Amino acid sequence: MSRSVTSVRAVVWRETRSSTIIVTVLIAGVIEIGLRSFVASGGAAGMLGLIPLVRNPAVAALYGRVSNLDNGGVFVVWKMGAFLLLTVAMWAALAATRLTRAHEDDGSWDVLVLGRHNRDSVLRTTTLVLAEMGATVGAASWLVLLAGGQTPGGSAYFALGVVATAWSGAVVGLLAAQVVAPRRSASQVALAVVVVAFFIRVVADASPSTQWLRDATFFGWVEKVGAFQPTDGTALVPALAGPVIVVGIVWWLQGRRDVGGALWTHPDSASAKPFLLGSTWTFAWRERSSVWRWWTVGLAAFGGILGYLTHALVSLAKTDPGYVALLTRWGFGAMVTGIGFIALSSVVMSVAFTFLVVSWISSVASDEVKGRLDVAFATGPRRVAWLVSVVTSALLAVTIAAAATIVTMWCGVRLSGTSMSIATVAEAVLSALGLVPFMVGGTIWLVSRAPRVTFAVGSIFVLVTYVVQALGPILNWPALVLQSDPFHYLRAVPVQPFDLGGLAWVSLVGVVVGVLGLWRYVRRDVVS
Amino acid sequence: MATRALDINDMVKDFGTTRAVDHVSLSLEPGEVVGFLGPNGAGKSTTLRLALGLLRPTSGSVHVLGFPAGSDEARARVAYVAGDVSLWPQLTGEDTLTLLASLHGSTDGAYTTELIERFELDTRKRLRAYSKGNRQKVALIGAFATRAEVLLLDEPTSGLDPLMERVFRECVVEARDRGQAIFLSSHMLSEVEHLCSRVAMVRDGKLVNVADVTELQTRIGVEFDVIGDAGDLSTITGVTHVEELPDGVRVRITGSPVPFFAALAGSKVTAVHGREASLEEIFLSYYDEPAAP
Repeated sequence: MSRSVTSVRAVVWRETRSSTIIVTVLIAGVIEIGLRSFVASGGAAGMLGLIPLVRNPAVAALYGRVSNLDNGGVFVVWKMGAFLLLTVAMWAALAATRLTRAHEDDGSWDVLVLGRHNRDSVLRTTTLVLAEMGATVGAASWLVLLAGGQTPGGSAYFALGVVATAWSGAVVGLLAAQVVAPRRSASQVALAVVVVAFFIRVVADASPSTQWLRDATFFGWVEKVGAFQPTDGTALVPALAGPVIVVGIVWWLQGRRDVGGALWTHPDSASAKPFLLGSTWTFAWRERSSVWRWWTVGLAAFGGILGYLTHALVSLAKTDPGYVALLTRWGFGAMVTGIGFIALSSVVMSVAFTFLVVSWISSVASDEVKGRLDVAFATGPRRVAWLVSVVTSALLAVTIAAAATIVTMWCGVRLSGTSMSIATVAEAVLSALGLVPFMVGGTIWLVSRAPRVTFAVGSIFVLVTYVVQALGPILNWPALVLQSDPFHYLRAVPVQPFDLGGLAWVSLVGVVVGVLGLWRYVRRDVVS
Repeated sequence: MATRALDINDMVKDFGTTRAVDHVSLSLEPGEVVGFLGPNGAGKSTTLRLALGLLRPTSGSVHVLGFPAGSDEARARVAYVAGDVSLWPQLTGEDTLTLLASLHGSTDGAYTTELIERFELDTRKRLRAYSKGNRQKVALIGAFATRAEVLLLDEPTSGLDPLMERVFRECVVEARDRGQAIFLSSHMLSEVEHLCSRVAMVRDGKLVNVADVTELQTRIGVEFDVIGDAGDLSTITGVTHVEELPDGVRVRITGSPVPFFAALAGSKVTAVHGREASLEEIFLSYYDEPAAP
């Protein structure tokens, strides 16, 4: 490889090195926790009672379809696979838009494509690095599974599934970057495609009659491989070849546009739209309204799907009371009623709500680092007013998103033929907002202490604490660890009582941390 | 005594173990234009950001019209143009100016319209579609339109074409004549030379000199090209430098030129061309010397 190409490769890798390490460690850690929880749950024998649950359409829709739970690897596939693959796909898509569209937008691409290089070679190198990133995560998955005593073949198929998912997410990002400008729009489109692909898999697994939909999404192809189960290795062909083919389309598209151009972009000119520019409070909303739209539509759609799946679980409970008793012993008893399923689903949705809040408030730090707030802070409102206005808009955004989710979830429940009042659904969804005060305070603190990595650290915190809450009890982790986790205090309301004391305590911690963060924020140097 | 527009008093700013601003003291009076010169990394932008309250001094103080930098009162009286203009890319120029006006709280709308016309800015374009120079125009219009009592400008003409540079100079002169104080950090020495009454020079975070522009020029001296045979001028009082030319010599004189002209009387000199030292030469004379330990 020529020295100049090596240089481009080194530059691109340097940009993605940190996120690759973080995602690799996260994925490996979650797999390891999954393997240990399988052992702690009694292994294959202990999983026998879960088989009816695994085959339930509603559960299959959420977690994916597996044929058995007789080894740790398939338990990881079932319990964590959906979460792992969605995370990998979204990370790869965002990395792809950052490495391509973002560089074209800020002009740094111009430097790379001059001299010895051309656009094709730089895009090829970037694509290669994205492929290596996916391979890195896949390799880590394979090693962790092998070290955990899983079969080499099953581990390899799982790892290749992770690689295929990463590659698929990456080409979605690459394609979005060619078609859409600027970077923010390209990232939104890429994430939307990944989420829609995930939803298609969810719908595909909800019923035998919709299984064919798995062929319409890379999540479906990876599932069809069936790692640690009766395996269909041929499903790997479209899963791995698909991204390669799309990459060819990406390269073809690049050759047909200017650097910095796109097939679709917001017009360079527009008429004046002075609305919501009159104060920091209104501008905080206007600046982030497109993000809010995507989040609200996504959450509402997910809520509707969850609501629609309620009936499948209710039907199961009616046919097998003994199964209900077994699930109750496992701690899944709440899921066999419609209300219980809605309640547990809302706990899952709390992750999305907290992500919305973290990303919304993190944008203040992002704007500061980019220098956009220099004039505002030097000649305009107080910093505290700016930050508080963003926090207020975040609370409004998450409230509206929750309201939309309540409506769509209830509609889904009703469409499924289940009887449930909208008040019950509202109780469940609103209880999922219980961690918002804590996350607001924590994010403010991060903005004050680490503005350059606020979003990354905040996101990782949400993911890690959710995983600890989900799997810690199964692994018999110390009570101190579990009680230190904010998700520990979220209950499956209304099936379980709202933990007012616990959430009040967590919220108080959030308020204290937030106040300390605010104090620090107005006293530190403005970063740029 | 009238309150100073800007009063920087023994200011120090450390970033970890790096001292970016080293005991800088300088002031700016209302109606004055002061230039701030220094090589890259000398501490100019840091000093400006300290004066705006964006950075906290390690020691020392900064006051704007008697108010601590960064206070509500100071922010209401200051306008700022950053060295690298970064704003919200999806907003149009007009929306950006509307936003900047509402953030500052007081802006002359009619003057904004006038400035848009003078700077020939197409305000319908989104900021991401602007060239660097046009983004700079947005920031300049936003700053001048506030009619703020103190203008802190960090390389304000960066990216502007010569015609727009002239418009900028006109705006500075108008602002000065209205009694506004302007603190201008620039690499455009000719611009500083024409606009500023005083120049502050900084190097490695230290202030090396603050002086009137004319005083600096006098200090460096006047240069004469002597065409013809003038004999040996190196020993003449006031002559500090002699350089051979193909058709004569070039001499630099400080102080009174009388001994020099007296020496030329009776010589076979056919022409004498004189010019004052430029600010560039003054600037380079300070930075060609190694820094003090």
